[in-house]
Amino acid sequence: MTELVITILIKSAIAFVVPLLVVPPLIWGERRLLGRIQSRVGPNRVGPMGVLQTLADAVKLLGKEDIVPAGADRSLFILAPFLLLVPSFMAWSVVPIGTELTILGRTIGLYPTDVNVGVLYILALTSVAVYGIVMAGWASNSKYALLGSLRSSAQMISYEIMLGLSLVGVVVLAGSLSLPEIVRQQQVPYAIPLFVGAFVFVCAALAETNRAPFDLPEAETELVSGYHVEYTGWRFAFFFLSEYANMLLASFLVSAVFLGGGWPAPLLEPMIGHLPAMFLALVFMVTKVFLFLFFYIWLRATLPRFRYDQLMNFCWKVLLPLGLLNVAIATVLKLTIYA
Amino acid sequence: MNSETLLTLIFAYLAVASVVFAMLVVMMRNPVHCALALVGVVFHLAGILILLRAEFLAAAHIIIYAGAIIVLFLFTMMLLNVGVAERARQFHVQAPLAVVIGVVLLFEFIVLTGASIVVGAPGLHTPAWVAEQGGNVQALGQVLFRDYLLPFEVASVLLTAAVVGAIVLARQKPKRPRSSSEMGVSEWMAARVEKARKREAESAPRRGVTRNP
Repeated sequence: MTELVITILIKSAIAFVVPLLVVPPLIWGERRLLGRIQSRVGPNRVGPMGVLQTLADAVKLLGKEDIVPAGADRSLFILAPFLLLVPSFMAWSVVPIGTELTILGRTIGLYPTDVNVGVLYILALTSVAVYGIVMAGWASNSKYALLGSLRSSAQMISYEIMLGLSLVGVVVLAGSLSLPEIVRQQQVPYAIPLFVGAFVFVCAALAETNRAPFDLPEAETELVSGYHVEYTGWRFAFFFLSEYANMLLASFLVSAVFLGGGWPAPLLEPMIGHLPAMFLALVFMVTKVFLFLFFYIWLRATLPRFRYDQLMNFCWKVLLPLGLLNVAIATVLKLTIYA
Repeated sequence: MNSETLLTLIFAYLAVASVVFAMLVVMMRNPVHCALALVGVVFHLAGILILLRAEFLAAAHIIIYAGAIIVLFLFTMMLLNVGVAERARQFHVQAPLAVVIGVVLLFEFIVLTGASIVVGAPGLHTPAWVAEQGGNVQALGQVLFRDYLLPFEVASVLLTAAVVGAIVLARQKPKRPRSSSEMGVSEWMAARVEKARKREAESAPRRGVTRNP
Protein backbone atom coordinates (compact mmCIF):
# COMPACT_ATOMS: atom_id res chain seq x y z
CA MET A 1 0.00 0.00 0.00
CA THR A 2 2.67 2.49 1.07
CA GLU A 3 4.79 1.48 -1.91
CA LEU A 4 1.82 2.08 -4.21
CA VAL A 5 1.21 5.51 -2.72
CA ILE A 6 4.88 6.44 -3.08
CA THR A 7 4.96 5.28 -6.71
CA ILE A 8 1.82 7.28 -7.48
CA LEU A 9 3.23 10.38 -5.78
CA ILE A 10 6.52 10.17 -7.69
CA LYS A 11 4.76 9.60 -11.00
CA SER A 12 2.34 12.48 -10.40
CA ALA A 13 5.22 14.77 -9.50
CA ILE A 14 7.04 13.81 -12.70
CA ALA A 15 3.91 14.26 -14.82
CA PHE A 16 3.39 17.69 -13.30
CA VAL A 17 6.98 18.92 -13.33
CA VAL A 18 8.06 17.71 -16.78
CA PRO A 19 5.83 20.11 -18.74
CA LEU A 20 6.83 22.98 -16.44
CA LEU A 21 10.52 22.21 -16.89
CA VAL A 22 10.43 21.61 -20.63
CA VAL A 23 8.30 24.60 -21.61
CA PRO A 24 10.82 27.44 -20.92
CA PRO A 25 13.67 25.86 -22.96
CA LEU A 26 11.07 24.99 -25.59
CA ILE A 27 10.07 28.64 -25.98
CA TRP A 28 13.72 29.65 -26.15
CA GLY A 29 14.41 26.92 -28.72
CA GLU A 30 11.45 28.01 -30.78
CA ARG A 31 12.61 31.62 -30.88
CA ARG A 32 16.18 30.61 -31.76
CA LEU A 33 15.00 28.27 -34.49
CA LEU A 34 12.57 30.82 -35.91
CA GLY A 35 15.46 33.26 -35.96
CA ARG A 36 17.71 30.83 -37.83
CA ILE A 37 15.00 29.96 -40.39
CA GLN A 38 14.22 33.63 -41.00
CA SER A 39 17.93 34.58 -41.24
CA ARG A 40 17.95 36.43 -37.94
CA VAL A 41 19.87 35.77 -34.75
CA GLY A 42 17.08 35.36 -32.23
CA PRO A 43 17.44 36.00 -28.49
CA ASN A 44 21.13 35.68 -27.55
CA ARG A 45 21.75 38.20 -24.77
CA VAL A 46 20.44 36.72 -21.50
CA GLY A 47 22.70 33.86 -20.43
CA PRO A 48 24.78 31.70 -22.74
CA MET A 49 23.17 31.77 -26.21
CA GLY A 50 20.14 33.44 -24.63
CA VAL A 51 18.98 30.34 -22.73
CA LEU A 52 17.71 32.43 -19.84
CA GLN A 53 15.62 34.67 -22.08
CA THR A 54 12.37 32.84 -21.21
CA LEU A 55 13.16 33.10 -17.51
CA ALA A 56 13.68 36.84 -17.88
CA ASP A 57 10.40 37.13 -19.80
CA ALA A 58 8.61 35.15 -17.10
CA VAL A 59 9.98 37.43 -14.39
CA LYS A 60 8.89 40.42 -16.45
CA LEU A 61 5.36 39.02 -16.85
CA LEU A 62 5.11 38.24 -13.14
CA GLY A 63 6.16 41.78 -12.28
CA LYS A 64 3.59 43.44 -14.52
CA GLU A 65 0.45 45.08 -13.28
CA ASP A 66 -2.45 42.69 -12.90
CA ILE A 67 -5.43 44.39 -14.53
CA VAL A 68 -9.02 43.24 -14.36
CA PRO A 69 -10.89 45.47 -16.82
CA ALA A 70 -13.74 47.62 -15.55
CA GLY A 71 -17.06 46.01 -16.39
CA ALA A 72 -15.50 42.58 -16.63
CA ASP A 73 -17.18 39.64 -14.94
CA ARG A 74 -14.55 39.51 -12.23
CA SER A 75 -14.88 35.95 -10.97
CA LEU A 76 -15.04 34.40 -14.44
CA PHE A 77 -12.22 36.61 -15.67
CA ILE A 78 -10.01 35.25 -12.91
CA LEU A 79 -11.22 31.67 -13.39
CA ALA A 80 -10.74 31.50 -17.17
CA PRO A 81 -6.92 30.99 -17.34
CA PHE A 82 -7.24 28.13 -14.84
CA LEU A 83 -10.01 26.52 -16.88
CA LEU A 84 -7.52 26.36 -19.74
CA LEU A 85 -4.42 25.38 -17.79
CA VAL A 86 -5.86 22.71 -15.48
CA PRO A 87 -7.18 20.36 -18.22
CA SER A 88 -3.91 20.61 -20.11
CA PHE A 89 -2.04 19.45 -17.01
CA MET A 90 -4.65 16.84 -16.09
CA ALA A 91 -4.18 15.19 -19.48
CA TRP A 92 -0.59 14.33 -18.52
CA SER A 93 -1.83 11.76 -16.05
CA VAL A 94 -2.36 9.19 -18.81
CA VAL A 95 0.46 10.01 -21.22
CA PRO A 96 2.88 7.08 -21.54
CA ILE A 97 6.60 7.61 -22.11
CA GLY A 98 7.10 3.88 -22.51
CA THR A 99 5.65 0.53 -21.54
CA GLU A 100 6.84 -1.53 -18.55
CA LEU A 101 10.25 -1.47 -16.97
CA THR A 102 11.34 -4.41 -14.82
CA ILE A 103 14.10 -3.39 -12.46
CA LEU A 104 15.30 -5.09 -9.24
CA GLY A 105 12.44 -7.55 -9.47
CA ARG A 106 9.78 -4.89 -9.71
CA THR A 107 7.70 -3.92 -12.71
CA ILE A 108 7.13 -0.22 -13.06
CA GLY A 109 4.80 1.18 -15.72
CA LEU A 110 6.40 4.15 -17.46
CA TYR A 111 3.13 6.05 -17.38
CA PRO A 112 1.37 7.87 -14.53
CA THR A 113 -1.76 5.69 -14.77
CA ASP A 114 -3.13 3.12 -17.18
CA VAL A 115 -6.78 4.10 -17.57
CA ASN A 116 -8.82 1.74 -19.70
CA VAL A 117 -10.42 4.73 -21.41
CA GLY A 118 -7.21 6.80 -21.78
CA VAL A 119 -7.95 8.01 -25.31
CA LEU A 120 -11.43 9.17 -24.32
CA TYR A 121 -10.01 10.83 -21.20
CA ILE A 122 -7.69 12.95 -23.34
CA LEU A 123 -10.49 13.81 -25.75
CA ALA A 124 -12.75 14.78 -22.84
CA LEU A 125 -10.10 17.11 -21.45
CA THR A 126 -9.45 18.77 -24.81
CA SER A 127 -13.18 19.35 -25.16
CA VAL A 128 -13.31 20.93 -21.72
CA ALA A 129 -10.45 23.33 -22.50
CA VAL A 130 -12.85 25.27 -24.74
CA TYR A 131 -14.47 26.72 -21.62
CA GLY A 132 -11.31 28.62 -20.75
CA ILE A 133 -11.36 30.30 -24.14
CA VAL A 134 -15.09 31.02 -24.15
CA MET A 135 -15.00 32.41 -20.63
CA ALA A 136 -11.88 34.51 -21.18
CA GLY A 137 -13.49 36.19 -24.17
CA TRP A 138 -16.87 36.70 -22.62
CA ALA A 139 -15.78 37.80 -19.17
CA SER A 140 -13.41 40.46 -20.54
CA ASN A 141 -16.40 42.60 -21.54
CA SER A 142 -14.63 43.60 -24.73
CA LYS A 143 -15.96 43.19 -28.25
CA TYR A 144 -12.53 42.20 -29.58
CA ALA A 145 -12.07 39.52 -26.96
CA LEU A 146 -15.62 38.22 -27.48
CA LEU A 147 -15.22 37.94 -31.25
CA GLY A 148 -11.80 36.39 -30.76
CA SER A 149 -13.19 33.79 -28.39
CA LEU A 150 -16.03 32.94 -30.79
CA ARG A 151 -13.45 32.48 -33.53
CA SER A 152 -11.21 30.25 -31.40
CA SER A 153 -13.93 28.18 -29.82
CA ALA A 154 -15.52 27.45 -33.21
CA GLN A 155 -12.10 26.35 -34.39
CA MET A 156 -11.47 24.16 -31.36
CA ILE A 157 -14.90 22.52 -31.40
CA SER A 158 -14.58 21.70 -35.11
CA TYR A 159 -11.07 20.29 -34.95
CA GLU A 160 -11.80 18.32 -31.79
CA ILE A 161 -14.08 16.10 -33.86
CA MET A 162 -11.29 15.42 -36.33
CA LEU A 163 -8.95 14.60 -33.45
CA GLY A 164 -11.39 11.97 -32.25
CA LEU A 165 -12.03 10.64 -35.74
CA SER A 166 -8.32 10.17 -36.44
CA LEU A 167 -7.91 8.25 -33.17
CA VAL A 168 -10.80 5.89 -34.00
CA GLY A 169 -8.58 4.14 -36.54
CA VAL A 170 -5.86 3.56 -33.94
CA VAL A 171 -8.37 2.30 -31.39
CA VAL A 172 -9.82 -0.13 -33.95
CA LEU A 173 -6.39 -1.56 -34.79
CA ALA A 174 -5.14 -1.75 -31.21
CA GLY A 175 -8.46 -3.02 -29.90
CA SER A 176 -8.04 -0.92 -26.78
CA LEU A 177 -8.64 2.60 -25.49
CA SER A 178 -5.69 2.46 -23.10
CA LEU A 179 -2.64 4.41 -24.24
CA PRO A 180 0.07 2.01 -22.92
CA GLU A 181 -1.77 -0.87 -24.59
CA ILE A 182 -1.80 1.06 -27.88
CA VAL A 183 1.95 1.56 -27.56
CA ARG A 184 2.45 -2.14 -26.77
CA GLN A 185 0.38 -3.24 -29.76
CA GLN A 186 2.52 -1.43 -32.33
CA GLN A 187 4.81 -3.92 -34.04
CA VAL A 188 4.89 -1.34 -36.81
CA PRO A 189 4.11 2.30 -35.97
CA TYR A 190 0.51 3.07 -36.85
CA ALA A 191 1.65 6.05 -38.90
CA ILE A 192 2.53 3.58 -41.68
CA PRO A 193 -0.76 1.69 -42.15
CA LEU A 194 -2.82 4.67 -40.99
CA PHE A 195 -0.94 7.49 -42.68
CA VAL A 196 -4.25 9.18 -43.54
CA GLY A 197 -5.23 9.14 -39.88
CA ALA A 198 -1.80 10.40 -38.85
CA PHE A 199 -2.16 13.34 -41.26
CA VAL A 200 -5.62 14.19 -39.89
CA PHE A 201 -4.33 13.88 -36.32
CA VAL A 202 -1.37 16.19 -36.93
CA CYS A 203 -3.57 18.84 -38.58
CA ALA A 204 -6.17 18.61 -35.82
CA ALA A 205 -3.48 18.76 -33.14
CA LEU A 206 -2.01 21.88 -34.74
CA ALA A 207 -5.42 23.52 -34.73
CA GLU A 208 -6.29 22.37 -31.21
CA THR A 209 -3.10 23.83 -29.81
CA ASN A 210 -3.66 27.07 -31.75
CA ARG A 211 -0.38 26.82 -33.60
CA ALA A 212 0.61 28.01 -37.06
CA PRO A 213 -0.76 27.68 -39.71
CA PHE A 214 -3.98 27.57 -37.66
CA ASP A 215 -3.01 30.21 -35.09
CA LEU A 216 -6.04 32.40 -35.73
CA PRO A 217 -6.73 32.84 -32.02
CA GLU A 218 -3.49 34.78 -31.82
CA ALA A 219 -2.94 36.03 -35.39
CA GLU A 220 -0.39 38.54 -34.15
CA THR A 221 0.35 40.02 -37.55
CA GLU A 222 -3.14 41.10 -38.55
CA LEU A 223 -5.26 41.04 -35.39
CA VAL A 224 -4.27 42.04 -31.89
CA SER A 225 -4.65 38.45 -30.63
CA GLY A 226 -8.04 37.12 -29.64
CA TYR A 227 -9.72 35.90 -26.48
CA HIS A 228 -6.81 36.88 -24.20
CA VAL A 229 -6.44 40.45 -25.42
CA GLU A 230 -7.49 41.96 -22.06
CA TYR A 231 -5.19 39.78 -19.96
CA THR A 232 -1.97 41.06 -18.45
CA GLY A 233 0.90 39.82 -16.32
CA TRP A 234 0.86 36.33 -14.90
CA ARG A 235 -2.70 35.66 -16.11
CA PHE A 236 -1.48 36.12 -19.67
CA ALA A 237 1.51 33.92 -18.83
CA PHE A 238 -0.97 31.18 -17.91
CA PHE A 239 -2.46 31.24 -21.40
CA PHE A 240 1.01 31.15 -22.85
CA LEU A 241 2.06 28.27 -20.61
CA SER A 242 -1.02 26.21 -21.44
CA GLU A 243 -0.42 26.68 -25.16
CA TYR A 244 3.10 25.28 -24.87
CA ALA A 245 2.06 22.52 -22.46
CA ASN A 246 -0.57 21.47 -25.00
CA MET A 247 1.99 21.53 -27.76
CA LEU A 248 4.22 19.24 -25.73
CA LEU A 249 1.27 17.00 -24.95
CA ALA A 250 0.38 16.73 -28.64
CA SER A 251 3.99 15.77 -29.41
CA PHE A 252 3.96 13.05 -26.77
CA LEU A 253 0.64 11.75 -28.03
CA VAL A 254 1.68 11.64 -31.66
CA SER A 255 4.89 9.82 -30.71
CA ALA A 256 3.06 7.29 -28.54
CA VAL A 257 0.00 6.70 -30.66
CA PHE A 258 1.24 7.02 -34.22
CA LEU A 259 5.02 6.65 -34.06
CA GLY A 260 5.07 3.60 -31.80
CA GLY A 261 6.58 5.16 -28.64
CA GLY A 262 9.96 3.50 -28.15
CA TRP A 263 9.71 1.54 -31.40
CA PRO A 264 11.85 -0.27 -32.59
CA ALA A 265 13.63 -0.82 -29.25
CA PRO A 266 11.18 -3.48 -27.90
CA LEU A 267 11.91 -5.59 -31.00
CA LEU A 268 15.61 -5.56 -30.07
CA GLU A 269 14.94 -6.80 -26.54
CA PRO A 270 15.72 -10.52 -27.23
CA MET A 271 19.10 -9.47 -28.61
CA ILE A 272 20.35 -6.81 -26.18
CA GLY A 273 18.44 -7.58 -22.99
CA HIS A 274 15.69 -5.81 -21.08
CA LEU A 275 17.38 -2.81 -19.48
CA PRO A 276 19.34 -1.58 -22.52
CA ALA A 277 16.24 -2.05 -24.67
CA MET A 278 14.12 0.00 -22.27
CA PHE A 279 16.79 2.68 -22.16
CA LEU A 280 16.89 2.75 -25.96
CA ALA A 281 13.08 2.93 -26.04
CA LEU A 282 13.16 5.97 -23.81
CA VAL A 283 15.78 7.61 -26.02
CA PHE A 284 13.74 6.88 -29.15
CA MET A 285 10.56 8.22 -27.57
CA VAL A 286 12.19 11.48 -26.47
CA THR A 287 13.84 11.85 -29.89
CA LYS A 288 10.48 11.45 -31.60
CA VAL A 289 8.92 14.03 -29.30
CA PHE A 290 11.65 16.53 -30.06
CA LEU A 291 11.51 15.84 -33.80
CA PHE A 292 7.79 16.54 -33.70
CA LEU A 293 8.35 19.74 -31.72
CA PHE A 294 10.89 20.77 -34.34
CA PHE A 295 8.27 20.02 -37.01
CA TYR A 296 5.80 22.29 -35.16
CA ILE A 297 8.26 25.18 -35.13
CA TRP A 298 9.36 24.54 -38.70
CA LEU A 299 5.73 24.78 -39.85
CA ARG A 300 5.29 28.05 -37.97
CA ALA A 301 8.31 29.53 -39.67
CA THR A 302 7.38 28.46 -43.20
CA LEU A 303 3.61 28.33 -43.66
CA PRO A 304 1.36 31.39 -43.98
CA ARG A 305 -1.73 31.57 -41.78
CA PHE A 306 -5.05 30.16 -43.00
CA ARG A 307 -7.92 32.58 -43.52
CA TYR A 308 -10.93 31.85 -41.30
CA ASP A 309 -13.17 30.45 -44.06
CA GLN A 310 -10.26 28.38 -45.37
CA LEU A 311 -9.76 27.02 -41.88
CA MET A 312 -13.37 25.86 -41.61
CA ASN A 313 -13.50 24.55 -45.18
CA PHE A 314 -10.31 22.60 -44.60
CA CYS A 315 -11.76 21.07 -41.47
CA TRP A 316 -15.16 20.06 -42.78
CA LYS A 317 -14.48 19.43 -46.46
CA VAL A 318 -10.98 17.92 -46.35
CA LEU A 319 -10.29 16.49 -42.91
CA LEU A 320 -13.75 15.06 -42.25
CA PRO A 321 -13.80 12.90 -45.43
CA LEU A 322 -10.18 11.90 -44.77
CA GLY A 323 -11.06 10.99 -41.20
CA LEU A 324 -13.90 8.77 -42.40
CA LEU A 325 -11.56 7.22 -44.98
CA ASN A 326 -9.15 6.55 -42.10
CA VAL A 327 -11.86 4.65 -40.22
CA ALA A 328 -12.60 2.62 -43.35
CA ILE A 329 -8.91 1.81 -43.89
CA ALA A 330 -8.54 0.77 -40.25
CA THR A 331 -11.56 -1.53 -40.43
CA VAL A 332 -10.31 -3.21 -43.62
CA LEU A 333 -6.83 -3.66 -42.08
CA LYS A 334 -8.33 -5.05 -38.89
CA LEU A 335 -10.23 -7.66 -40.90
CA THR A 336 -7.26 -8.62 -43.10
CA ILE A 337 -3.68 -8.00 -41.95
CA TYR A 338 -4.32 -7.31 -38.27
CA ALA A 339 -6.92 -10.07 -37.90
CA MET B 1 -9.44 4.60 7.16
CA ASN B 2 -10.21 1.70 4.85
CA SER B 3 -11.04 2.10 1.21
CA GLU B 4 -14.75 1.49 1.79
CA THR B 5 -15.20 4.59 3.98
CA LEU B 6 -13.01 6.56 1.63
CA LEU B 7 -15.27 5.67 -1.28
CA THR B 8 -18.33 6.58 0.76
CA LEU B 9 -16.79 9.95 1.60
CA ILE B 10 -15.98 10.60 -2.05
CA PHE B 11 -19.50 9.62 -3.04
CA ALA B 12 -20.96 11.89 -0.37
CA TYR B 13 -18.93 14.81 -1.67
CA LEU B 14 -19.89 14.12 -5.30
CA ALA B 15 -23.56 13.70 -4.49
CA VAL B 16 -23.81 16.84 -2.34
CA ALA B 17 -21.78 18.89 -4.80
CA SER B 18 -23.85 17.82 -7.80
CA VAL B 19 -27.06 18.75 -6.00
CA VAL B 20 -25.59 22.10 -4.95
CA PHE B 21 -24.46 22.85 -8.51
CA ALA B 22 -27.86 21.79 -9.84
CA MET B 23 -29.50 24.27 -7.49
CA LEU B 24 -27.09 26.96 -8.60
CA VAL B 25 -28.14 26.29 -12.21
CA VAL B 26 -31.69 27.38 -11.45
CA MET B 27 -30.94 29.99 -8.80
CA MET B 28 -28.14 32.12 -10.20
CA ARG B 29 -29.15 35.23 -12.07
CA ASN B 30 -26.55 35.38 -14.80
CA PRO B 31 -27.30 32.74 -17.48
CA VAL B 32 -23.60 32.28 -18.25
CA HIS B 33 -22.93 31.46 -14.60
CA CYS B 34 -25.85 29.04 -14.72
CA ALA B 35 -24.34 27.26 -17.71
CA LEU B 36 -21.02 26.95 -15.88
CA ALA B 37 -22.81 25.52 -12.86
CA LEU B 38 -24.33 22.97 -15.24
CA VAL B 39 -20.79 22.03 -16.26
CA GLY B 40 -20.11 21.49 -12.55
CA VAL B 41 -23.11 19.14 -12.36
CA VAL B 42 -21.88 17.18 -15.37
CA PHE B 43 -18.41 16.77 -13.87
CA HIS B 44 -19.64 15.58 -10.50
CA LEU B 45 -22.04 13.14 -12.15
CA ALA B 46 -19.11 11.83 -14.19
CA GLY B 47 -17.29 11.32 -10.89
CA ILE B 48 -20.20 9.22 -9.59
CA LEU B 49 -20.11 7.18 -12.81
CA ILE B 50 -16.41 6.51 -12.22
CA LEU B 51 -17.21 5.34 -8.69
CA LEU B 52 -19.69 2.94 -10.29
CA ARG B 53 -16.79 1.69 -12.47
CA ALA B 54 -18.44 2.99 -15.64
CA GLU B 55 -15.37 4.85 -16.95
CA PHE B 56 -16.49 4.81 -20.56
CA LEU B 57 -19.82 6.35 -19.66
CA ALA B 58 -18.09 8.99 -17.53
CA ALA B 59 -15.77 10.04 -20.37
CA ALA B 60 -18.60 10.01 -22.93
CA HIS B 61 -20.73 12.02 -20.51
CA ILE B 62 -18.09 14.75 -20.28
CA ILE B 63 -17.33 14.76 -24.02
CA ILE B 64 -20.98 15.01 -25.03
CA TYR B 65 -22.51 17.20 -22.32
CA ALA B 66 -19.64 19.42 -21.18
CA GLY B 67 -17.75 19.34 -24.48
CA ALA B 68 -20.58 19.83 -26.92
CA ILE B 69 -24.02 20.65 -25.57
CA ILE B 70 -23.23 23.21 -22.87
CA VAL B 71 -20.66 24.88 -25.12
CA LEU B 72 -23.49 25.44 -27.58
CA PHE B 73 -25.64 26.90 -24.78
CA LEU B 74 -22.81 29.28 -23.96
CA PHE B 75 -22.35 30.18 -27.60
CA THR B 76 -25.96 31.24 -27.86
CA MET B 77 -25.93 33.09 -24.57
CA MET B 78 -22.77 35.01 -25.33
CA LEU B 79 -24.48 36.53 -28.34
CA LEU B 80 -27.64 37.44 -26.44
CA ASN B 81 -28.05 40.38 -24.16
CA VAL B 82 -27.44 38.77 -20.81
CA GLY B 83 -28.22 41.95 -18.87
CA VAL B 84 -31.92 41.68 -19.69
CA ALA B 85 -32.17 38.19 -18.27
CA GLU B 86 -30.37 39.33 -15.16
CA ARG B 87 -32.91 42.06 -14.43
CA ALA B 88 -35.94 39.90 -15.16
CA ARG B 89 -37.93 38.75 -12.12
CA GLN B 90 -36.89 35.34 -10.96
CA PHE B 91 -40.03 34.01 -9.27
CA HIS B 92 -43.42 33.58 -10.79
CA VAL B 93 -46.57 34.53 -8.83
CA GLN B 94 -47.35 30.84 -8.59
CA ALA B 95 -44.16 30.20 -6.61
CA PRO B 96 -45.90 29.50 -3.22
CA LEU B 97 -48.23 26.99 -4.85
CA ALA B 98 -45.24 25.34 -6.55
CA VAL B 99 -43.51 24.94 -3.18
CA VAL B 100 -46.57 23.18 -1.68
CA ILE B 101 -47.00 20.83 -4.65
CA GLY B 102 -43.27 20.16 -4.75
CA VAL B 103 -43.19 19.12 -1.09
CA VAL B 104 -46.20 16.84 -1.56
CA LEU B 105 -44.66 15.22 -4.64
CA LEU B 106 -41.32 14.75 -2.87
CA PHE B 107 -43.11 13.05 0.02
CA GLU B 108 -44.96 10.75 -2.38
CA PHE B 109 -41.72 9.98 -4.19
CA ILE B 110 -39.94 9.02 -0.99
CA VAL B 111 -42.83 6.84 0.18
CA LEU B 112 -43.22 5.11 -3.19
CA THR B 113 -39.53 4.44 -3.79
CA GLY B 114 -39.16 3.30 -0.18
CA ALA B 115 -41.93 0.80 -0.70
CA SER B 116 -40.88 -0.49 -4.10
CA ILE B 117 -37.11 -0.61 -3.97
CA VAL B 118 -35.51 -4.06 -4.02
CA VAL B 119 -32.05 -4.18 -2.49
CA GLY B 120 -29.46 -6.77 -3.39
CA ALA B 121 -31.07 -8.27 -6.49
CA PRO B 122 -28.31 -8.57 -9.13
CA GLY B 123 -29.07 -7.28 -12.61
CA LEU B 124 -28.36 -8.95 -15.91
CA HIS B 125 -24.82 -7.56 -16.23
CA THR B 126 -23.05 -8.38 -13.00
CA PRO B 127 -19.44 -7.37 -12.22
CA ALA B 128 -18.45 -10.99 -12.87
CA TRP B 129 -20.00 -10.87 -16.34
CA VAL B 130 -18.22 -7.56 -17.06
CA ALA B 131 -14.88 -9.01 -15.95
CA GLU B 132 -15.51 -12.02 -18.20
CA GLN B 133 -15.86 -9.71 -21.21
CA GLY B 134 -12.42 -8.25 -20.44
CA GLY B 135 -13.47 -4.91 -18.98
CA ASN B 136 -16.06 -2.22 -19.02
CA VAL B 137 -15.50 -0.91 -22.52
CA GLN B 138 -15.56 -4.41 -24.01
CA ALA B 139 -18.72 -5.28 -22.08
CA LEU B 140 -20.44 -2.11 -23.29
CA GLY B 141 -19.37 -2.90 -26.85
CA GLN B 142 -20.78 -6.40 -26.58
CA VAL B 143 -24.11 -5.13 -25.32
CA LEU B 144 -24.36 -2.25 -27.79
CA PHE B 145 -23.16 -3.96 -30.94
CA ARG B 146 -24.47 -7.50 -30.38
CA ASP B 147 -27.54 -7.47 -28.16
CA TYR B 148 -28.88 -4.07 -29.15
CA LEU B 149 -27.43 -3.70 -32.62
CA LEU B 150 -30.68 -2.82 -34.38
CA PRO B 151 -31.82 -0.07 -31.96
CA PHE B 152 -28.30 1.33 -32.04
CA GLU B 153 -28.26 1.49 -35.84
CA VAL B 154 -31.76 2.99 -35.96
CA ALA B 155 -30.71 5.68 -33.50
CA SER B 156 -27.58 6.48 -35.52
CA VAL B 157 -29.61 6.75 -38.76
CA LEU B 158 -32.04 9.10 -37.01
CA LEU B 159 -29.19 11.27 -35.74
CA THR B 160 -27.61 11.39 -39.20
CA ALA B 161 -30.96 12.43 -40.65
CA ALA B 162 -31.17 15.21 -38.05
CA VAL B 163 -27.68 16.46 -38.94
CA VAL B 164 -28.45 16.44 -42.66
CA GLY B 165 -31.72 18.23 -41.97
CA ALA B 166 -29.95 20.92 -39.95
CA ILE B 167 -27.46 21.50 -42.75
CA VAL B 168 -30.25 21.76 -45.34
CA LEU B 169 -32.09 24.29 -43.17
CA ALA B 170 -28.95 26.32 -42.50
CA ARG B 171 -27.87 26.45 -46.13
CA GLN B 172 -28.71 29.82 -47.60
CA LYS B 173 -30.00 30.22 -51.09
CA PRO B 174 -27.78 32.62 -53.03
CA LYS B 175 -29.40 36.02 -52.52
CA ARG B 176 -27.57 37.95 -55.19
CA PRO B 177 -28.10 36.88 -58.79
CA ARG B 178 -24.87 36.05 -60.54
CA SER B 179 -23.01 39.13 -61.70
CA SER B 180 -22.89 39.93 -65.40
CA SER B 181 -19.20 38.95 -65.66
CA GLU B 182 -20.08 35.40 -64.67
CA MET B 183 -22.78 34.98 -67.33
CA GLY B 184 -22.58 34.06 -70.98
CA VAL B 185 -23.81 36.62 -73.53
CA SER B 186 -27.17 35.01 -74.31
CA GLU B 187 -27.87 34.47 -70.62
CA TRP B 188 -27.04 38.11 -69.95
CA MET B 189 -29.42 39.26 -72.70
CA ALA B 190 -32.17 37.02 -71.35
CA ALA B 191 -31.63 38.43 -67.85
CA ARG B 192 -31.85 42.00 -69.18
CA VAL B 193 -35.10 41.27 -71.02
CA GLU B 194 -36.55 39.57 -67.95
CA LYS B 195 -35.59 42.53 -65.76
CA ALA B 196 -37.15 45.04 -68.12
CA ARG B 197 -40.34 43.03 -68.35
CA LYS B 198 -40.57 42.80 -64.58
CA ARG B 199 -40.09 46.54 -64.18
CA GLU B 200 -42.81 47.16 -66.72
CA ALA B 201 -45.21 44.83 -64.98
CA GLU B 202 -44.52 46.38 -61.58
CA SER B 203 -44.69 49.99 -62.61
CA ALA B 204 -47.84 49.79 -64.69
CA PRO B 205 -50.55 49.15 -62.08
CA ARG B 206 -48.94 51.37 -59.44
CA ARG B 207 -49.25 54.50 -61.47
CA GLY B 208 -52.81 53.72 -62.39
CA VAL B 209 -52.29 54.67 -66.03
CA THR B 210 -51.35 52.45 -68.90
CA ARG B 211 -48.56 53.45 -71.17
CA ASN B 212 -48.82 52.57 -74.89
CA PRO B 213 -52.48 51.70 -74.84
